[in-house]
Amino acid sequence: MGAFRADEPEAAHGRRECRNAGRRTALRGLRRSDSATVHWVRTMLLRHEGFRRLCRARDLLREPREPSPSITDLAREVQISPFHFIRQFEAVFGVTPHQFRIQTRLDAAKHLLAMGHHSVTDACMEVGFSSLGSFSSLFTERIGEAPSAYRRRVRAMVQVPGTVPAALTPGCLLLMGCLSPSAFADSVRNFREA
Amino acid sequence: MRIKLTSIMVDDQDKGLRFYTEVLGFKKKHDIPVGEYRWITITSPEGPDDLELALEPNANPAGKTFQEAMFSQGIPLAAFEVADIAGEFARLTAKGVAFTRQPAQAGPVMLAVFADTCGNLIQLYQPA
Repeated sequence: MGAFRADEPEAAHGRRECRNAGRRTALRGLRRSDSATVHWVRTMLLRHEGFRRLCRARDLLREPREPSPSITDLAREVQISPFHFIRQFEAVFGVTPHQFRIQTRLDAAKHLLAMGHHSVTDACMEVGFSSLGSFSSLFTERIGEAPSAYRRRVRAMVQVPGTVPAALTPGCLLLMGCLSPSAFADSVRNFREA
Repeated sequence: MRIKLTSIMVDDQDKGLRFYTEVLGFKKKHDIPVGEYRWITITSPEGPDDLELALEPNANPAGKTFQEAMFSQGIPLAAFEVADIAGEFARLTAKGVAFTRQPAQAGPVMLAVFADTCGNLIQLYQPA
């Protein structure tokens, strides 16, 4: 495999680093630039156990817990150092653990508001926000409308009482049915020319 | 009957579009608002132009459950063919992509698996 040179002195250091207890990132990759300078690429290569720990962390972040554990506590609980935990979590899930927790709560709030029985304040408290102000601004920033406007809009959708309106949980390929013909203009041409 | 469209669920369509274009290098073909969501499709710059991958929202609870279960079990939900898997591995790891399997021979192909930041594991394969 051309990208890897295990005989370089730095590789030995990398292997030593890998053996250090608790290390999850492996200093493993070697990439040569045009000027032949050696660059070390810190490779995010997750072993089976490391991956499982991150999945467990994701599950824990989903659980509503009083009081809500700090990110450091969570890292400890899944046995990854806080520094590595945040970096690895973000590499795998695309957001930091903190951001993930906020998004989980906002999604739960959307669900409650869509079900129709919760006021904005009730939903806010139910999902674990202590401040209505920060809940509202985070909600608006992420969802694109204020929680009160969202609630008003989804409650106007047709739904079976006690469920979320079907329009909010589509099977995606069905979305195709709502597009204008121009979205398929090329395809139609290809079929006709065949 | 032709195979011209397939799809994969993403937990956030914005994040998905960014990752699949800016990190993986696919091209956006459609990005059309449809109700709560968007109809987003991508194609490969290596062609063909009319073979699209739709980035579906995973808003359906059953879809979310399925996606997360497959992820936790380490099962990829899509696979892309590459000409140089070692090169792709180096390119993607330099961009901070997390791999769960580095390139290794698996029967007739070299395989690698990474997380797409949107709830999926993706497989890369290089045929012999």
